Amino acid sequence: MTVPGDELLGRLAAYREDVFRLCLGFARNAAEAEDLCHDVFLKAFARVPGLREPAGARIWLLRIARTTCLDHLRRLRLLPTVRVEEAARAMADPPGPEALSEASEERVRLKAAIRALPRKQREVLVLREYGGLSYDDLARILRLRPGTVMSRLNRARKAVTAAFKGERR
Amino acid sequence: MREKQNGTRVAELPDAIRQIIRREVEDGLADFGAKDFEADLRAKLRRASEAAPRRFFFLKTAPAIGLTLAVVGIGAAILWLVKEPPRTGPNVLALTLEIAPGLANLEEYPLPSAGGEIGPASMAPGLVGRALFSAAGAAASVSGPGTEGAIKPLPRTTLEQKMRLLYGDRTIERALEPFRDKFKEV
Repeated sequence: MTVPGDELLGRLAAYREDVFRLCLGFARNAAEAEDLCHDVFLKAFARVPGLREPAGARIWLLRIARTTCLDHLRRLRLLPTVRVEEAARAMADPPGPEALSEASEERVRLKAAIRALPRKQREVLVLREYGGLSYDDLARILRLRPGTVMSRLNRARKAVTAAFKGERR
Repeated sequence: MREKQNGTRVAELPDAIRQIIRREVEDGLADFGAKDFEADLRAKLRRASEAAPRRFFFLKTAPAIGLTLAVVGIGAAILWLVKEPPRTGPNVLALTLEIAPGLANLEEYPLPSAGGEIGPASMAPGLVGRALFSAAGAAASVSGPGTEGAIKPLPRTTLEQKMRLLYGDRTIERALEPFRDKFKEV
């Protein structure tokens, strides 16, 4: 891989926040999202010759972000959920109720509810709610019709709301 | 609450959930924005570009070399087997006879005719039988024409004689030494 020039790096890095928001939706925390974001740009620079329309760089980049995040989730499923040393640390020093603020607790619950969604619903929800993308952008990234995007989003929102409220009770 | 888009109604997320997401995104972006993204990215790109040749070697070059050697090796083995049909080595033969002496039972296999027709023995299984059969056939063809079309039974021979017929005198003595007393005549 060759290190890209300043111009190209600057042009693509302008979309870093869009990419980060999307990665954050798929990742378990901000640090993981940041790593994913770097991976997305590394992949993007390796695939720059595949970028046919420079005007569509944002959608192209977000498409790479989506596949990178889905690959990451797939890898996570293959790994044990809790590492041995983390489990040992948690047993030795369990966090008290005050250690977890209510906000972060809710965030964790919401993440769990989103993770429990089927993949197609989850990706459309993350792209819309975390990425803040329009329906047209969603349709272009996912290569779907806007109607399909909306129906998936509708189901995803209902499911995540039900799961989140169910957890709350 | 529902949002409307092109006449299609899509369920909205409750405000509580939207706020959680908004807060998470804002917190994440605040941390993320505080770091020098381009510098970090450049460092990672440099590391990746340095690691690329090594990875290319292990992922592409080395398997390609291995595959080429395997193909050439298999091809050479095939050519060699065609040119030099395999023969059982004396040690292997002796060991085989120790394990399964029945393999050397040759009475049922007829010799080929002097005309060189191939008898049923050519298809018969049996390590020693096949090898001996072909060796005896070769010897018969060298020694001159016999009765035209006649199929002679294989002469009863000792194991040592059979192995001499197959392998000659030089290596056979050493191979047979440990088994000399163990075998009965076939």
